[in-house]
Amino acid sequence: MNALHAALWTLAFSTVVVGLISVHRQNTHHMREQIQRFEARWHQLEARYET
Amino acid sequence: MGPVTTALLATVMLLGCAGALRGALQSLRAADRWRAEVRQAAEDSKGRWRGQRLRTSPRVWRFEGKLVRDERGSLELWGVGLILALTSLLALQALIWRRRQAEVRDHFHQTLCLKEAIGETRRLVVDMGALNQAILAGETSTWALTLLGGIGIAVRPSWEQVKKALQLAQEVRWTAYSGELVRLRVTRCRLPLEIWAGPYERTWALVRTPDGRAKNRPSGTWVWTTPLSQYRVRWELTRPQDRRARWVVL
Repeated sequence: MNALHAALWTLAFSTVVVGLISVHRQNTHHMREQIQRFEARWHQLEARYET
Repeated sequence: MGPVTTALLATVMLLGCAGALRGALQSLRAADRWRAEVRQAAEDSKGRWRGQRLRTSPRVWRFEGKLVRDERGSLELWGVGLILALTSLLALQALIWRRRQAEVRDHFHQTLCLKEAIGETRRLVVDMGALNQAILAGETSTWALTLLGGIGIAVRPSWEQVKKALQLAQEVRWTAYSGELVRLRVTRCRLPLEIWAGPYERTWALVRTPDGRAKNRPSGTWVWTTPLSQYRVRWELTRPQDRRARWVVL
């Protein structure tokens, strides 16, 4: 019973920690994607308005 | 994330932390109580040798290295409080990150809008400058019509007619520029008000110099605000027939 109890608590805490890490990873990925899209569009505009 | 959500999450976190603290205090107090009872039991057991009857609380012997009765609940309260606090911290972080992402996205978008607006204005200055140069050249520029495909030989327009056509072309170019600005505005670009005035003076039509050129503004400043920063753009156009303006972006 004690082992089950400990396992449940460990599961609960690790769920929170895994959630935190996954949100962070998702955020980083999203930011990188945004920057890449920005760079691509910037070069596109540079080419268009080059005089 | 609105203030209501923040307040709600902060309340949940505070309650969670309070619960955790209460649980911790309760278990400390329980441990103290247990230690006192064990000490008492040890004292009592000495009396066994003197033939006294053992008065030991059954609670001490039932303990067997784990918490009993209501004391187990105190530790669970602690754990639940911690979990609650961590979860609400996670939710708060997620909301803050979401907001930050939206801000960064909008910042990039506004920066690209600025780039596009500058590009369009530079194109406008190039075209208007060329037309102004043609008007400045006066009658000489009608020779260009003769050279370009021989239109001048067939039609033989007067200088006044050519000038009117050039001025009309300037108006059309101006309209196209305004159309581009409207297109930018539709794509959620926050254009500053000054940009609508443009680099050439205008009332109901373009304001002209005595010889018919479109009159320029000498300079202008645009303050372009994004959620993360602010750009100050300054341009200077010396003469109406100039095809390049001087741009400073800070």
